[in-house]
Amino acid sequence: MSVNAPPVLEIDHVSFGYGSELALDDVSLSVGRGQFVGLIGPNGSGKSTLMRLAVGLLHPRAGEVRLFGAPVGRFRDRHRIGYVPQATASRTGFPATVAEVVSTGRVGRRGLFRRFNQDDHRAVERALDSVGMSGLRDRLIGELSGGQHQRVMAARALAGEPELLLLDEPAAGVDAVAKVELLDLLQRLVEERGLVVVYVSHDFETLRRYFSKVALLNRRLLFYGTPGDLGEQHDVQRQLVEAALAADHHEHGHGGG
Amino acid sequence: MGQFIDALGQGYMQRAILAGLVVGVVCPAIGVYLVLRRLSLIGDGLGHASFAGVAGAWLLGVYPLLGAAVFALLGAVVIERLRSWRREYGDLALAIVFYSGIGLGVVLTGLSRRMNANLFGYLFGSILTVTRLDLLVIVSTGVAVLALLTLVRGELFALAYDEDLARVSGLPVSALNYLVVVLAAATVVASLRVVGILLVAGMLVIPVAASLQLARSFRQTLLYAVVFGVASVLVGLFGSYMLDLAPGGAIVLAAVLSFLAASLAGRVGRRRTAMS
Repeated sequence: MSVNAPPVLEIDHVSFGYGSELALDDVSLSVGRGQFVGLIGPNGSGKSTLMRLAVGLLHPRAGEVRLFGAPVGRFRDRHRIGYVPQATASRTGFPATVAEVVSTGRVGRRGLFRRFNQDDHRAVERALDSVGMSGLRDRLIGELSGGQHQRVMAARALAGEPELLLLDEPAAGVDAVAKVELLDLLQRLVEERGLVVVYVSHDFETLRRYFSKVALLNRRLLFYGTPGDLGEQHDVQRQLVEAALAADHHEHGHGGG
Repeated sequence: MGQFIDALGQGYMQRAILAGLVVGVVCPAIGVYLVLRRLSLIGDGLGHASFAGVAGAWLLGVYPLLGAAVFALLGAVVIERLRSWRREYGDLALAIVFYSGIGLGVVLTGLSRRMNANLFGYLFGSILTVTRLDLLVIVSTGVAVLALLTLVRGELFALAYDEDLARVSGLPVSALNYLVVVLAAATVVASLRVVGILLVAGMLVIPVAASLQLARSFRQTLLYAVVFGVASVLVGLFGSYMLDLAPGGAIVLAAVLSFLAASLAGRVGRRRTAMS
C-alpha cells in the first residue's frame, strides 16, 4: 500500500438539503486506512443522510464525495464498499432465507452474468458465521428479531469482502448484547484485515472505546478527532454535543424524534 | 376421459398443450419479480397495450402477435419511464398505459368494422386454435425469456430485495428495471393466444400468490410458482375440454383454486408449527 494512497472516504465541503432547509451544512471529513470511525449525533442531525451521500444514493447540493480518490458518481469498484442501511422496517413478507439475503452481498463482486461459484458460497458462509447467524441460515428473514436482522444485513455487506464498511445503526430494536457482539466483530476485522468502518450511532459513551476517531454531527460537523481529544481538549464542542443529545432525549421523552 | 385421450392424438391439442406448458412456466417465472416489487398489475397494463396492437395489426392485415409485440414493448418502456420519473405515481403510469391501450384498441376495432370472432380469441384466449406460427412464436419467446431470467437471476433477486442496496452494489438498476418490464411484455405477448388479453395478468401473478403461501425461500417461491402455473394450465385445459368451458377462463380459475388450496395448506402448516 502506497503512502500516498488517497483517503478511503472523503467528504469535501458537502451540503445537502430537502427544500430550503439544510440537513447538512458544509461538512468535510476524511477517513483513512485502518480507521474505525464513530459518526455520532442526535436524531435528525443528518447522520443517515451523510451515509446515503457517501454511497452515492443521494447527491450533494454542494461539495463532493470521493471514494478511494474517485468522485462517487464515477466510482466503479463498488465491491470495495459495503453498506448497512438503517433497516427501520424489515421486509416481513419477503420470501427469502437468511443465506439468500446474505448472498445478494456478492452480486456486485461477481459482475453481471457470472454464476455463483465456490468462492461466493464460501464468502457467504464465512460472513454468516462471523455474525453468529449460521444456525439460522435457512430461516425466513421475516421471522427474525430486529437485532438478528441487523446482523444479517451486516453479514450481507461483509460477504462482499469490502474494504470500507458503512453501518447505520437502527435507533431501536437491537439489544445491547447483540450490538456489542457486532462491534467486537467489526473491531476484529479492523485490526486483522484492515477493514475501514464508519459506524453511525446516537450513543457515544458506551461505544467510545471502539472508535479510533469520532465525528460529531449536528447538521454541521462539530468535532472530528480521537475520543481522547474530545474528552480532554474540546470542552466547547463536547458541551454543544451534550446539549444536542440532551435535547434529543428530551424530545424522545415526549414521544417525538 | 377417453375422448380427451383421443384428442391428445390431434395436432391442435398437442399445440395447445405445448403452448400452455410454455405459458405455465414463463408467466410465473417473470411474475415472481413483478409481485415481489409490487408491480402485480403491470401485466394488465401490458395486456391492454397489446390489445391496441392486435386491433391495429388486424386493421392492416398483418400478423396480430407482431402488432401486440410492438405495442406491449412500447407500453413497457412508457410504464418504466413514468415509474422511474415519478416513483410515487407508479400506479398512475400503469393506468395511463392501460387506458391508452384500450382506447386505441376500441377505436381501431371500430375502424375495421368487423368485430371478428378471431379478435375475441385474443381478448379471452383461444388455446385450441393455436397455429404452427403461433406455437413457434410462443416457444421461441418463452425460451428466450427463460434464458435471460436464468442468466440474471441473482441480480434480479438482489434488485427485488432492495433497490437501494442493489444500486450501492453497483448493479445497473435502471437497465435491470427495463429488462424486467420488457421480459414481462414479451411474456404477455407469448401468452395472449393461450389466456387472452383480459386474463394474462392473472397467469403472471396468481401462481406466484399461491406459491407465497407455502414457500420457505426464494428458491422455493420460484419453483412452486412454476409448478402451480403448469398445473393450472393442465387442469384448466382438461377441465375445459371435459366440461365444455372456455379454456382461457378455466386455466385462470384453476390458478385461483390452486391459490385457495395453497392458502389453506399454508395456514394449517403454520398452525402446526406454532403448536409444536
